[in-house]
Amino acid sequence: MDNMREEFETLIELINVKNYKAVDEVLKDYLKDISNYIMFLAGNGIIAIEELNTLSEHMTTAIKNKDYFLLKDVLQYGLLNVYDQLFPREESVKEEE
Amino acid sequence: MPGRTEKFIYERNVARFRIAYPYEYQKYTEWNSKKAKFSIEEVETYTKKTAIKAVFPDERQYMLQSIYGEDDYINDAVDSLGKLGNRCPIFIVGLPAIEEARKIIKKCHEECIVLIYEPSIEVLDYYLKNVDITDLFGILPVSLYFEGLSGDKLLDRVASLFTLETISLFRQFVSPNYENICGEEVLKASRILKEAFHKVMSMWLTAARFTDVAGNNMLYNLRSLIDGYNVSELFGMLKNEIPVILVSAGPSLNKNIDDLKKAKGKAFIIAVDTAIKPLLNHGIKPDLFCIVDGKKPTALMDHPGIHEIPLVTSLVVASGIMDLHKGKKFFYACDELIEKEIFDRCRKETGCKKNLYPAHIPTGGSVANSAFSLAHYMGAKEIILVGQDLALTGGKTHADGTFKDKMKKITAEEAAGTFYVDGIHGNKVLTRDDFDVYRRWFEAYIEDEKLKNVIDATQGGAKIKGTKIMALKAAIEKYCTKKCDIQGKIDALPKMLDYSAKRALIDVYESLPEKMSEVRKMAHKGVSLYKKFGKLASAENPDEKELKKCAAKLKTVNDFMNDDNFALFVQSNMVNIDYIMRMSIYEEDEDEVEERIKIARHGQSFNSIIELYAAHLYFNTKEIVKKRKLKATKADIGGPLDKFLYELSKEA
Repeated sequence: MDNMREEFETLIELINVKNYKAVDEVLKDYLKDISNYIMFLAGNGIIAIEELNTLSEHMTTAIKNKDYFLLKDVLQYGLLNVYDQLFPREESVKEEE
Repeated sequence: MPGRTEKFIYERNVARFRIAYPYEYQKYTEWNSKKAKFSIEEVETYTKKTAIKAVFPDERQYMLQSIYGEDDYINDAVDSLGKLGNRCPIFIVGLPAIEEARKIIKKCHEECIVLIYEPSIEVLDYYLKNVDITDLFGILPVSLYFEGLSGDKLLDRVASLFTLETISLFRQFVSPNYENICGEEVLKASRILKEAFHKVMSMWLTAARFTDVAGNNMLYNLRSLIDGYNVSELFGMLKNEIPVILVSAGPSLNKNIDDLKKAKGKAFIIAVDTAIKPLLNHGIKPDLFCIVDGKKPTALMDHPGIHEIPLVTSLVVASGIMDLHKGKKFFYACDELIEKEIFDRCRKETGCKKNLYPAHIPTGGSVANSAFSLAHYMGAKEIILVGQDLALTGGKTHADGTFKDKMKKITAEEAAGTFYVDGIHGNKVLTRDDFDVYRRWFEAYIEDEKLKNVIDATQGGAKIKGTKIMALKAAIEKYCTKKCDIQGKIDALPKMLDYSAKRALIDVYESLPEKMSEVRKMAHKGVSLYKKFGKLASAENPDEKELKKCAAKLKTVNDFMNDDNFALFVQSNMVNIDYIMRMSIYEEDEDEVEERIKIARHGQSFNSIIELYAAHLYFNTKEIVKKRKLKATKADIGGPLDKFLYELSKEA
């Protein structure tokens, strides 16, 4: 769970620079972590079961069609956003203090 | 009820679409949806709104809008474009980015120019039926281009998006996954953008190359107007009865130049400037020759026979050649403001205005393009092209006998940047950028004017679409069959200026130094006022009343610089400097004080340069007017009004 932000940001950045080959390679390594994370969200009631299904479906569709836009959409706005709310970055915690 | 709402949206959209883009609307109604390459399906977003995706028959699918990001995605997308300056041109690919477009327009307070290129009729169809886009049809500052519906004018539309002042503010945005659903069209758009950019910069660089060359040439050439003719007198002269042979100076000219002898007296021969020497050296006297270049070497035309051939020219062509050629000169418009000033004054003074309207001959940049337009303008029955290689035939740029008796092949350095195009014999030929631009101009002209009578009798070179390919001998045998004598008609044409108009020309000519001095004084005033403005603006507590007074005086100076023909002439001769100034003109500072100081600094620099140039032109014109005097003499008197004015001027 600690590395999730880094993994999301790595994938998002690779998509931003259109290095899709690298995205495919890296995704293979991160897919299990991402799935575990989605399960964690559903298991802890952070997202509903229907949302879990939708998220998974979109991830699958994105990977199957090599729709990197959709993949980034899910990662950045679907998953990383939630992660940032659950585990705020250290700098923003310090600012709040 | 969803059905009713959709019908309402469709009817509203289509009503506006039909009015704003009638041609595109007509084409849209002819589109067969059964031929759609993909379908558009809706997807529910995270907040229960609607996003769309493209679905292909083989089940591939691509999201065209964000499901999870929605407004955040749109805001991030717009922010990624950076600071959007005043009048920034924006190029957007795909209607799915419509919300981004609306946000951009709002951010720019509607002071931007947006072109939305939609490559897919499937997407357009979806939007017309399901989304209210009525604001795109004439309400927002948006223009639309639809692939397959808007004709083949994307390059023109993109090129008109930006100017030199706004090119650095240009932004583009491609809707998600468009490279997957309309890959070819997206690539085409990218290529066209590069071409449009190149077109704008090319025009500017050409202008820069001729910085002050055009201006100097004009000042030196003005005296030629006094005995000149107007090209408008040649309009329709050939009455679609006589063919024109247009002789250019491509390398292939050497192969069939002597065949032209058979056409003499049976065709009207127009030569480009560079072809004149080889023609005269082969004993072929054309009926007219054309020049456009401001920097052409005089040696190219140095032949004793040149004076017998009327020259079609403008005021900005190389002054050495204008001085060398003592024969008839037909002037076409060069669009310089001093020319306009002169013609306006001449028309005011003369009794005979007919030939005193500057006539334009369309050009694509080369003298052959201009000569072609001239042939069409004169009413040629057929236009037969000779020596129109537009390629590096045999590795050479021009025919032997033009720049050199024996032209050398291009060097390895010159060969860099060349590329292959289709040749007239079905082969591939080597060409370069400028030749290719001229070739495409011919093709566009032939298509736009729907010409069916253009024969390419060049013995080699690039294929020009729209022309019939024929050997010159065969073309002459087929088309040059009747005797014609146009020279008699040309000889009988009256000069452009009668006595009164000549007096008007002389008045303007002699007033040139005084006018340049006036511009210099005004620029000097501008420098002082901008200095004062800057000082007032940077004070700790700026005196708004004094600033306002200063700004009002500056307005007088700026209005003069923007409206006075001579002030504009001076500025048009400062192209290189003007380039640097204009590139930053719309870059705004957010701090008002800094913005005012920047304006003051900019204005001071600009007016200093105008002052310098005006001073240079003052001395220049003083010298020209003194050494190259113009006179209207008794020989110029025509009718009774002329006689009366002549007597008056003697008394004065």
